[in-house]
Amino acid sequence: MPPRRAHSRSDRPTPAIYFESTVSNKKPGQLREDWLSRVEQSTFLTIKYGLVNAEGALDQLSRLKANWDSYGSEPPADLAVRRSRETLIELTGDLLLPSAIVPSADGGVSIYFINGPRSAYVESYNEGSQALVMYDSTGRTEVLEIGRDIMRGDVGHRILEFLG
Amino acid sequence: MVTKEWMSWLKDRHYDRAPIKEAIIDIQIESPNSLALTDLEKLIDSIPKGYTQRQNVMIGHLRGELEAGVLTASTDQRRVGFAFVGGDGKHVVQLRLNGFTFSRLAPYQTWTQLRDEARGLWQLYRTAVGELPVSRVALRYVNQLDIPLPMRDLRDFVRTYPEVSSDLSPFLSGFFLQVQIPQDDLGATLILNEALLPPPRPEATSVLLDIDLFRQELRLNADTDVWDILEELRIRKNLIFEGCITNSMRELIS
Repeated sequence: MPPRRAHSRSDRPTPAIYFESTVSNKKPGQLREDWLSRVEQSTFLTIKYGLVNAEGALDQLSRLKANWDSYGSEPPADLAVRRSRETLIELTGDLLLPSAIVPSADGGVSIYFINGPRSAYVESYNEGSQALVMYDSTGRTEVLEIGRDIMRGDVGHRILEFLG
Repeated sequence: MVTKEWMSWLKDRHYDRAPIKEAIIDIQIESPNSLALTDLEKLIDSIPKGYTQRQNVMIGHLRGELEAGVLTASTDQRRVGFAFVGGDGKHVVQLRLNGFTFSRLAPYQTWTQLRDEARGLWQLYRTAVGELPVSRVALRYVNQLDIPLPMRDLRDFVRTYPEVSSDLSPFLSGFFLQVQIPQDDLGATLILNEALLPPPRPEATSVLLDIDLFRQELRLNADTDVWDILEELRIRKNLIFEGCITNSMRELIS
């Protein structure tokens, strides 16, 4: 525990503003913008808030009803949403944040990572299986079944390698 | 009143379960138009082994224009540098046209390790930007204080907090607090951000304690001055951190 300190400030119960000199003369309305740039500078906060947003998107998908796309598609099953959430948490550990999270017309959830002409997504199907799909603008596509063609723990590294 | 006894305690104090999630050293340079991305690209082959993941650092602008009653919005993005991830995903270095940022993610080790790793990379960055003077030096520590629930009062753990009128409910589901406090003796500024964060487990609540200390409007030519300033900021950062927590919090992180 720290040594005791003199109570020289006990006569100052409230914050004192003896002059106004904010570091960049920001107006209160700019606080949000300032905070967003601070979040951007911090990898930890970018991932933390990015994960909150991604989990919010997953929650929305979990509430979809059958025929959500008017083409008769099934809504994402609880298992697909759970697998997607596990994948998200693992990939954010590799400092990877998704570009988009969308329901799959085949029944399930797709988590997209996009970098210019290259895209990768992890598809979690309603029956529980998962696939990593990577493709580029030339039409070259690679599909790997997670657990069979690629270990779960290697998915983040493989995506980063592909996206460059 | 900061006594000598306090300063001595601050220098030696160490927490086994330090709540530091990220420590950031940020150095900005006077960025002239003569500096181009190609200057930074020359560094890519010299980045130490272990820094493998390369990402572009972009800056974006959103422009809105109102003409003849029609609002149009456009965005532009441009690359301003590169980021590399190393140290098994625990180190992130950004080399930008306007400066350099080094982050150490949890688990935090020591100040010496942080400073030395950053200094090595800064020297590499220096080879690209030449002798351009440093205009801003910052040290930022992002802490996540995990407090077990039920919690009687936030004040049992933190000493800087939003004070809510006793006429209102004391139960908070979220808050965000920013204070800017001049550090006149150092010529520096403290921006302290405090907020609730999603907790790591349901039986806890987490408080963000984000300490950003910086000096700006500088014109430093000698790198030794930069690192001397960072040493000063680091001691002040410790003082601020200790000033923000209570003994109950110290027990949780010891």
